[in-house]
Amino acid sequence: MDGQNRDCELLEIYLLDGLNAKDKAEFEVHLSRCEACQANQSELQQVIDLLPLAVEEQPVPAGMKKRVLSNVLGQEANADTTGAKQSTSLATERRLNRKNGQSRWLIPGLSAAVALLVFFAGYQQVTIHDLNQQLAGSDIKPGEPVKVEQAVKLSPAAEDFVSEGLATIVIDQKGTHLLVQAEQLPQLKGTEAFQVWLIKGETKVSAGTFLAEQGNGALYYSFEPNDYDTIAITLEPDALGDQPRGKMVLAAPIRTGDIG
Amino acid sequence: METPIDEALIMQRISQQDPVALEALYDRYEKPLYAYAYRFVGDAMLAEEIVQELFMRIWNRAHTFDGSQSKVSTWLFAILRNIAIDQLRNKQNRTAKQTQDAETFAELIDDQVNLEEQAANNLMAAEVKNAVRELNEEQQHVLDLMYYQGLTQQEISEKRGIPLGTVKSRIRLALKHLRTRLVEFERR
Repeated sequence: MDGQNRDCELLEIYLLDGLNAKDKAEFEVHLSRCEACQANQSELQQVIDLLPLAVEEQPVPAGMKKRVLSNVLGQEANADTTGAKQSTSLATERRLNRKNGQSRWLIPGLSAAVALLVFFAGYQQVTIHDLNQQLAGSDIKPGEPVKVEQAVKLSPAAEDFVSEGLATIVIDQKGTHLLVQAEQLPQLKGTEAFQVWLIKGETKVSAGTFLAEQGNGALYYSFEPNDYDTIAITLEPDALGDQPRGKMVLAAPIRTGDIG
Repeated sequence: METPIDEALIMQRISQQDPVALEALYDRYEKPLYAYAYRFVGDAMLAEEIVQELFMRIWNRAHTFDGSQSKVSTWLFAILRNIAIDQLRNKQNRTAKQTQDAETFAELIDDQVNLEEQAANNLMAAEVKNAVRELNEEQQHVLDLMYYQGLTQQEISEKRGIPLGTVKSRIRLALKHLRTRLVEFERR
């Protein structure tokens, strides 16, 4: 057996990460030159990729999702000192290339509040009062002024809804931003999502979608003031729509034409 | 009917710091990732920490994911495995579960798997379990030590008192069998 073939015999162990550092480095040199190993690598890797499936299922600890995402995103919000972090919904992001609006973190202090609202409103029972306090700027850094331009209470759009919410428009050096928070929202089913709309006459512009936890949810959106006269939240069959298809849950008149 | 969202798109949005995308990815993979982490460490709290560390890395490094090089699931499981093995290696006082002679894959496989109730994806999982179960005990043992306990071939040779060549041949035969079985399954 020649040296080439002996090296080839290490392919499986290499792919299973069973070579020590020295052997691994040597094998990678061999792999870069050996067509036979390169041809086998892909198929063997597919087999190895399936090994996680051989693991027996385990019950996930209660509340793990909340803890994991809380720690990951909480850390992010606290560590974000540069601002301009994007926080968009999947549907909103798709539209960003077509519109001027851009969802992103407003400022570090507020970003923490938004992150908490979006993900943990349900767990922490954040109230509109809390939101107002956060917007009032206790976390805002000097030199990064934010002006609360307008705050309107969102009212139930139908008698069978008990939801309530607050839409706040704030302005900073980066532009105009909308912060929406809602409580006592209907329970979502399947792919359903809540969607926020800025409305000007018959024109409806999506400000993004959000999910709710225990009836609470929030959304943050940057936009160009454009004489919008109404803000509304609808219950949509999924988070992918460009125009309303579902029921209106909350709504309120706004004025954005004279902003800026 | 739920419309599948392209996972590469989810990764792209996570790289743009979209928390909704991160949550979507979490929802898709929570159970298999947790089970996989638990398999390594045998401890619920530690397994959760590993999953958390994984999502921390995803959140901070999603931009390093290259969809042309690997599937999202491959990337996730590979990172998780590295974290789990680092945990094992860093712990001076390994728990009895890690220090005792390795359990074989077969011991961990539930014989009560009800294939009829498995979704299509789970059929493959069952097939993988069956294929692993068909390996002989020595092959399962060596594969387990290398894949789930992160030991090198030299460490396995020393730990088990078997020649290096034997470790190598058992691994090669094990993967050859799995490859054959899974190719057959995919052709059905």
